[in-house]
Amino acid sequence: MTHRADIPAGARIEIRDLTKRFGDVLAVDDLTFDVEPGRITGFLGPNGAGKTTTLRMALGLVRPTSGTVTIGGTPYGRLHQPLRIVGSALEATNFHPGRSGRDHLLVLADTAGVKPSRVDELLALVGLSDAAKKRAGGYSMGMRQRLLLAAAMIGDPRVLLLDEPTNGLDPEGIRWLRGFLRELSAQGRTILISSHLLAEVEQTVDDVVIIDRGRLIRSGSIAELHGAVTAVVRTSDPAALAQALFSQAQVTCEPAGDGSLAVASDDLRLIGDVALRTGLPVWELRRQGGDLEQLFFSLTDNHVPASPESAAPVGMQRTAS
Amino acid sequence: MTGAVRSEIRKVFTTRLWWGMALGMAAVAAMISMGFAALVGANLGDGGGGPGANQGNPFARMTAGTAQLIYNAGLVQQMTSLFPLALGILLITSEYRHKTITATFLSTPNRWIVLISKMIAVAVIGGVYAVVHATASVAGGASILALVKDQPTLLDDAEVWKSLGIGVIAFIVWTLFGFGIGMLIRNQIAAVLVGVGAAFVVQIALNIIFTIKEWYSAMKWVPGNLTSNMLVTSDPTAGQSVDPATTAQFFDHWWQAASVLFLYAAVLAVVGAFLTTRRDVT
Repeated sequence: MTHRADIPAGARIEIRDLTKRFGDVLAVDDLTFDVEPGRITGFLGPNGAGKTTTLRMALGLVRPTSGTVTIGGTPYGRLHQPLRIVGSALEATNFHPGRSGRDHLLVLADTAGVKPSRVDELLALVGLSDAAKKRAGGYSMGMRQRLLLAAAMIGDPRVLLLDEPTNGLDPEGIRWLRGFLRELSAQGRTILISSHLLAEVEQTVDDVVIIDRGRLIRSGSIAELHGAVTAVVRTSDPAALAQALFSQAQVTCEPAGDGSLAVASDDLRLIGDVALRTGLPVWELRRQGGDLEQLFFSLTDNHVPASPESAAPVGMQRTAS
Repeated sequence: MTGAVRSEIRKVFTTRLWWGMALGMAAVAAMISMGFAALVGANLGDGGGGPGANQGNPFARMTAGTAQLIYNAGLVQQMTSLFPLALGILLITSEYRHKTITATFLSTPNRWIVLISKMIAVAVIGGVYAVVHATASVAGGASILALVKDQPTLLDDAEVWKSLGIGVIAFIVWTLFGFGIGMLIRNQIAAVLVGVGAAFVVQIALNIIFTIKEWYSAMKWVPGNLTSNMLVTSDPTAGQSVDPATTAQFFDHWWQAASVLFLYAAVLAVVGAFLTTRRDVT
């Protein structure tokens, strides 16, 4: 029997070698990462990257082809009254249009073993008290997101998994969500939110995990990733410049599209000198103020491994590793 | 488990589906029952109890069996059983259609517990439908008998009440049929078409074929006939001469028919449940 008390205050989500194949499509490919308690982790990637499939595997809805996901050391399917440990919101269409918001929560309250009074508290918390008895079919996208969030919170869980929670929220709603999640995170809960739009979660998350085509691209704190790119240089042969920068100055770079390189250094003089010694023209050279959005695009759209050894053969091609 | 059952029952009663369908069913049940009641005493075809008749007329005289026929007329006519069938289909397929099944499996990851809870909820609503059906049928049938035909309503007869009680089992089984079909065919529209199509068109076709071929002993395996077999426990033709061949279309005891019908529903539900526990929810 796994009771709430058995789960330590911070339940870490551990994803290990997770793979899911749907027929010929490899939706998730050998994914390994942790989601830490007391932090908000952004799970990022373009649409179709495998985020939702990963979340569904974490929640026991989709059976992994191989690999495991545990929450506080236990797979979701073996949690007793899981709503009291893990709250999740998967899609904005998860409601029967003819059932009221309040009834939706009561249905969950029955299985989570929580009192109906909790339902009314939650409705007030997400600002849906007035619409509580209206049928969910008439809810706006923002109201649905709020109801989903209330549903996720029904069992006062230690872990929150939210799939694209900012979808359909206006800027005011996003600000509200940010404050809401910040507060929950400060209480030591583990929070994972997925998004295909970095900009919408950039100011909310502490850590990011970026995936593309089912594979892990990057993970780390947002501060680290912000620091990773600090200069952009455009030249005639980016691959050659990348190799030169690495061999002469031990500086790594990545292609940033349009023949330019994102260089992990803000020493513009050094970059210019290396280019000169290598005999390459400099068409553009500027500092970049840690624009993670650009990194996000460069990582997901034109992804090559950051090390020059494997990047060397051709500048912009994906290399399987 | 009790939480899961309560949750499933709450789902049934928090949308308009159940009472909308119940209302429709009550109207149909009352009308068919009134129609059957209007036949009492009529001289039907070659029956009429006269010499040489090979098929008894159940409406010749008002007997307990006749009352059972009238108060279950909708089911005997294989019309009102379509309502619990469709209800069972709609209850499970709407979970897939509106993707609420995700939330259901998240709150109770053990899918067998979910499905057993659902079957209990389905049985509860089936029982409610049985009561609605009996009330509407008795109201319709008895009022014609008493006011128009000037016949005894036989509502003080224990056999009549036994039949209405068995009706509860019939409704539970038909709702479970729907539930099993819905689990197998998760697409709501396809499931309703297949389920109602099979129950209505195929059953009638089978009955016609079996009658033409005189395969009377095959007829008793058709679900609709099994239902009538359960409900009409007392011979409505009471004492009239009946061709022995046609009696082969019924089991001797109502519980035999009920067991066969229940077995059908159980097979459907278990196969559907097994597939449901294996499938990914995307």
